[in-house]
Amino acid sequence: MRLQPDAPHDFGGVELDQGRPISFLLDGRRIRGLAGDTVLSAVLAAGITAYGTLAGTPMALSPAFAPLVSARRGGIVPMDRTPALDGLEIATLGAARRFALRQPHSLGRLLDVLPDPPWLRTEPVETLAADLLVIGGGVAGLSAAEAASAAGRSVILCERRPWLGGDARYFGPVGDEESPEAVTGRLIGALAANPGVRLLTTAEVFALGDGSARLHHVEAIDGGLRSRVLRVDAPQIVLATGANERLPIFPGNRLPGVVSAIDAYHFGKRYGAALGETAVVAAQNNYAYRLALRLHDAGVTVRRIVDTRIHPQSRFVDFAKASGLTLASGQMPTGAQNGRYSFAPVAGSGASVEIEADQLIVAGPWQPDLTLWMLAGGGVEWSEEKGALVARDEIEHVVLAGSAAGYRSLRACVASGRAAVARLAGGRPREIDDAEPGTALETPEAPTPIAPMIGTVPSFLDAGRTLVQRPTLAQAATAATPRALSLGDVAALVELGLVAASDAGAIAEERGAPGADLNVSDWAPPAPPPLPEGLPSWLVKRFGDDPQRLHLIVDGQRTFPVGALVYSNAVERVPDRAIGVIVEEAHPGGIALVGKAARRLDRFIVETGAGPSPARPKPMS
Amino acid sequence: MADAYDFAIFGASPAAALLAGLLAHDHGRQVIQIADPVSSQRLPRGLDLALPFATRPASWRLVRDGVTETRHILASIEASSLLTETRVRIVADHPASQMALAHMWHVAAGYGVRVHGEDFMGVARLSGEIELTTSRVQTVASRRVTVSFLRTGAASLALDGDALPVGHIVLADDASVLAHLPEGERPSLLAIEPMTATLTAPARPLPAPVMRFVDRGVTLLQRPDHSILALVSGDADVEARLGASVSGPFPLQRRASTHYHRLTSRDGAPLVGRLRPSRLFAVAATGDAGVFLVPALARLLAGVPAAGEKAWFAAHDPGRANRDAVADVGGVAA
Repeated sequence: MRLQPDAPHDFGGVELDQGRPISFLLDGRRIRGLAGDTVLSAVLAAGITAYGTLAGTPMALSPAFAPLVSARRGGIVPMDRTPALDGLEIATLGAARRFALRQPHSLGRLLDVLPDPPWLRTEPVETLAADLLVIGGGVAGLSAAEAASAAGRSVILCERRPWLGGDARYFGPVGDEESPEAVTGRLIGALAANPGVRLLTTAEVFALGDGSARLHHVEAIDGGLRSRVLRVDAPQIVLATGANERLPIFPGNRLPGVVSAIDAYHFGKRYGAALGETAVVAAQNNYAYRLALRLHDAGVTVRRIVDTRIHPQSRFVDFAKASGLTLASGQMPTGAQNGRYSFAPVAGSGASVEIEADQLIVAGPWQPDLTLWMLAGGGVEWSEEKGALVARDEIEHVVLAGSAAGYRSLRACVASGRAAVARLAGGRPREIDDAEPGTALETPEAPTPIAPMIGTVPSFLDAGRTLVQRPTLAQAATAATPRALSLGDVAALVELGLVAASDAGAIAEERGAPGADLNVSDWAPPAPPPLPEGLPSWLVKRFGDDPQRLHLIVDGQRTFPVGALVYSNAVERVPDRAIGVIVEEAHPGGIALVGKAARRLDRFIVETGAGPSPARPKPMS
Repeated sequence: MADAYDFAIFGASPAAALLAGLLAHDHGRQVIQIADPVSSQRLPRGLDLALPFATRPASWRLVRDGVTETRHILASIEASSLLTETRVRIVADHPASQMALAHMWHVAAGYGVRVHGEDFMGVARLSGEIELTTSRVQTVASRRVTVSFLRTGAASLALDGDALPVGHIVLADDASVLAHLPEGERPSLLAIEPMTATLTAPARPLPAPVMRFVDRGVTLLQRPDHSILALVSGDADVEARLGASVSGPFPLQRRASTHYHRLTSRDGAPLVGRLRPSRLFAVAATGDAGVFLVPALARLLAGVPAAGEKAWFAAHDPGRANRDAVADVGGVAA
């Protein structure tokens, strides 16, 4: 549903042009939206909240898990990065039942096999070049681009989302510091005014290495869509890829209606929409309270804020209380089904509660997005302190910044962007203060809430396309899953105790940068080296110091296979009693290599593989 | 935690765990294993397959007896399911390899392996983790242990900074030899080989569940879900060699990949024995079948080897000047 256009805190949708309604056809279904929507935001705002079903379980539609769509003009594009244009005709890709009633709230896809984005295997149509490539348009990326451009260097900045500024606005201002809005606006203004800077939004980098990146870019052009693969050559790269909010682990954590706090925030702020009129917020940090307050002010009925932490202290908690919101602490989500959400005390005893709402907004811990870092050859390791996989080692000409580098505060993210550029210019690493002023007395965020495994509704480890379900102990002990594993999946496996923390980095690296697809090859072993004169090494001293060649025959027809063992009698036919071996084909019989003592024998047994055969030396002609 | 140990076993492989367990339980020794846990979600670095690419009868006899004994050991710890049987096809492209392979078929058949056409049938394979957490073996993480060398060159251990008296220090697999044996003391017969392990998406069925292409340096294992685990030796043309060996459909997605090193010997035979001057006992270049040598190795280390075993280990001792009598197929060029 859409929030009021004039909703407080800009929750009417800062991307939207309220005066320009649009409509487009998706799978033959008319979707109405507003200019500024993406295809995904318009679809979600129209009440379609399910992508389809995975083994019978409905799966929520989200920016991290949305189908590819095929546009008559523009090719195959992702829903979340594609602008919704008036008159567009698009169709979702993927399997579907041959006969099915249209489900009003679902795209109806079967999700057991997901089509791969075709651009992963597409050659670039154009090559761009700059002194510096910045990947990620959050405050750290913007700050890096601004620092480099101010020093006279050409910069290309790529951002996957349709807007710049990243997630900083979700966390809000701290104390008297400059707000995220102000910081973002100032940096974007400076970059837009600099002709040496090129800003690309809806541009997702998917390959990186050796001073070159490949990205997929979607844009509206001449009333239609254009999607292209571009190559960017840059001798230096700043990775400011941000962090991803992880899911609490409970049965039903990816059912339609369950939405992450960061997605709910951007959906409201950017597109003036919410997944329903009522919400329950499951918190494990203080920022979820801030989101709940904004949704409440924008007209969403927040039925309860349920916090994993016991009696959390925060200014946002106080504001929520003062606004009359119902709070409950020391409880975690334990299940979701058909719009009913259950919570149980984290202490393990006490009554569970069940709350009905249109949506369950879940907050979780943050995992730095190091996917491209690993593609570039970087390593990762588990940090007990941060409860996340963090970068290790260094890569020449590639530097991390912002929350991808593990920073949390706005101030530190901005500083880390500048520091990254200085580092690439040969400067020493700088100490960056990451303390958030005024938060010392606030309750820190809790670890990932993990509910018991109950019932048949699956719990998923992460929010994206990997679709890895929480395994049992027995399943986790069996061979490595053939599915891809995201960093969030690996982090969840560590927290579930199914992967050793010391092993987590290696697993993430194995899964995070598996390499390109394999293609058929006509490779053949190079010509073999000439056979060495004399015996092969594995026959040296096998039959004594002075073995001899002997032509063995049994009758006028039979031949002996190369490799067959030669024995002195039919009784002790075990290989370490063999006195020789057939080393060369001959017709009839075969040429045997035999030990010195065997030369005195006139009868042999050759174990042919089809049974023992008598043999005798061929008389010399 | 004991004050002193008879054996310190380095290594996290099944072979290292089995060796530590046998020394502690069957031979009554005080054993500490230095290993970091290896999750089953990590890509395997080997197949633990009772099919040495070897022709020497003594090695085949040792592996055959080791399979029988390992089966009994696993049954006694209620872990019989770890030992399964599989069909293996070995493919040789070069005439020299084809000749060695032809001989290997006959030797294997002589020790009871069923050979059908190109395939070795019913080959024992150990898969899964040998769990020692409830055994008498003390297991510690490698970061707690440091190996240092005295002026004489002999190795000594410290646990959390304190001297740890041990009778014998055993580097029980390639990874531990690579990690702890000083380069200067590495026998010249040993070569470090770069390896790539790759897990693909489900693929078309392979002709056999395990395929080994000896001249391409490619080993493939098709798993029950039809995904393929590929182990490729060397670092040249890895993709091309894989593309020429797997069954498609192409393009075939890679789901995971990792690089590591293993040890091979220049004469194709394992090196097992004590090194000088460190007195570290190294087990190296044993290949896929190494885990099945462990029961005999445990007896050797405990001082009670059977006659044939003693001779085999003596012949494979790294200090032995002439190894002509044990040289085998699969050696790498110097």
